[in-house]
Amino acid sequence: MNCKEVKELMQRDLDGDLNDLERQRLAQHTQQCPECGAMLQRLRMLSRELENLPKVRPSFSIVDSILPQLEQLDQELKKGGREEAAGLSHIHDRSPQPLPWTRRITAAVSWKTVSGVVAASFVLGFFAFNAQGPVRSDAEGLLNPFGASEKSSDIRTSPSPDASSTAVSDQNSDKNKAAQSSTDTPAQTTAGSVKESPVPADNGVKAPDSRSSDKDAGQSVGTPGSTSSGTKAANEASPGGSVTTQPPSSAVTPTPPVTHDNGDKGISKDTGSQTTPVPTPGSTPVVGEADGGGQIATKEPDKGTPLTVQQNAGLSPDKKLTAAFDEGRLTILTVSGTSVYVSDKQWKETDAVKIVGWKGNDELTYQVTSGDQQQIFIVSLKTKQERTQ
Amino acid sequence: MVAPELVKAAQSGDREALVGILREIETHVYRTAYYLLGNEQDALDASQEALIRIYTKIQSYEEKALFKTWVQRIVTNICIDKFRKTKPTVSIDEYEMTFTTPRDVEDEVMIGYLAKDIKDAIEKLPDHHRSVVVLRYLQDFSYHEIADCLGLPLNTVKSYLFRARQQLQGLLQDYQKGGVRG
Repeated sequence: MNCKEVKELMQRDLDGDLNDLERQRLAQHTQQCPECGAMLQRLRMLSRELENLPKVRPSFSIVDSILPQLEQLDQELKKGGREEAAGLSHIHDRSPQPLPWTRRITAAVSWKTVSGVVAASFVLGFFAFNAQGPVRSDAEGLLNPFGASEKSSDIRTSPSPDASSTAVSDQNSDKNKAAQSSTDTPAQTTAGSVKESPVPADNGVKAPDSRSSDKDAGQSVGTPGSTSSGTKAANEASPGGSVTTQPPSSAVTPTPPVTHDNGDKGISKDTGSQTTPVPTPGSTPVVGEADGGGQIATKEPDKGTPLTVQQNAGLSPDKKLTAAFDEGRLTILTVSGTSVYVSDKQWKETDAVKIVGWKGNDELTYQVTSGDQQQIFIVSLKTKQERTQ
Repeated sequence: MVAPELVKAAQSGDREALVGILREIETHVYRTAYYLLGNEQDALDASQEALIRIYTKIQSYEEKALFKTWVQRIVTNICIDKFRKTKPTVSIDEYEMTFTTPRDVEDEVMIGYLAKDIKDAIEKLPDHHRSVVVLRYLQDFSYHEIADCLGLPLNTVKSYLFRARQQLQGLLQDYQKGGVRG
């Protein structure tokens, strides 16, 4: 065995890696070769010294020293996540996808740019959405004379075969006529003008209008842009003015069963279906029309400026209560508009809030997504308290 | 070292668990950084950077690797990057630091000197050799763990370690001949 081979054995010896035979051969060689013997001594001493190197410790808590930085990182991430979530619901032209969250830190600058773009398009989208209201109201005003001059009220168009039209055809025709003949509501003019536009839902509007305007107000809380979408539908439809009778329209309509009892419940039901993400896109604006009409009639279009889009599942099973987000707070109202519960938690524009649903008539579940954090809250109306799940 | 359940909790968004992990590993992180970089200030900087990286990248940790090897990979990478940038610096301060150690117990002083020699000798090793030595002796890593951590083949790890020790004992011999000890 030569010295080179022995050096390998020495190294492995330091790691306790030798078998008995190898150890024996190493011992034999180092006894005969003083050079290798000295080296083995030095290596063993070195190894011992290495093992005994001072186990240094930081002079202060490094974690404590970076905690503020970590919190800042958390906030940046949350902010980013929120904007991302909010962006999804509003964006017209999608801005570039943000980096995966793990890379955002390393690319802080580009992330800021991205989030800025997302935020900007969100804001833009929000205003564009809201701006439709005034624009279309004006347009409606312009159309009024035209509409008023036409005496063809109580007209149906077929272009939007939809929930409201069936609802009307079911039970509302009598009420409609009553509503049309009545002239004592403050909303007369508006209702009149809406009436001219041959959109099915306008009957739906007038029916509850003559019955209880409070109900409308209560229900209309939490439906952003409902006015605009409603009047949009009206305006689009009114110039056409094609006249049909009610029965054909109802025959045409393939409506889900739920909408059939719209006539009974009037607006309250409409609101429910309006805010639900309706599968058929065409039906949404028309149902919204009913709601928009309701708002105009009751002169309370501004009540509540909800921040989020999803307000489905807000109606309690017994249909006496409705939940919505009012200025970022969960608010539960009776159908007559009396507040039953207002959450003390106010969510930001960038939080995605969603009502999950009712459990019985006294427990409501809702969900808030802030950034990548999701929380679920359960509101108990018995205790008037809410807890996280 | 760190309980796997704690790591899982941290990965699923438990911030407290994550901060708890950082507290648990900070000394290990610092120790590696200290012996790779050779001075307290750089070691503190590198440790902070490593802990922040661990905080933000905890999701990318996969269980197939040991958590401690994942952590040490992060800190060694940071230190090697840092060392490349600041290599030519020679620290004079440490001599002063060493000489302020208590002189009344001679053995302690002697150990201090030798440790100082070894530490200096370690600093003279190439990056990977130094990393292998630090992981082997300061973190008690096995060959396998070192290989995982540095992403090197097992045989390479062994040969780096052997060569490093060979070089260190040579340097040590020089120091001893120079009269510091022996």
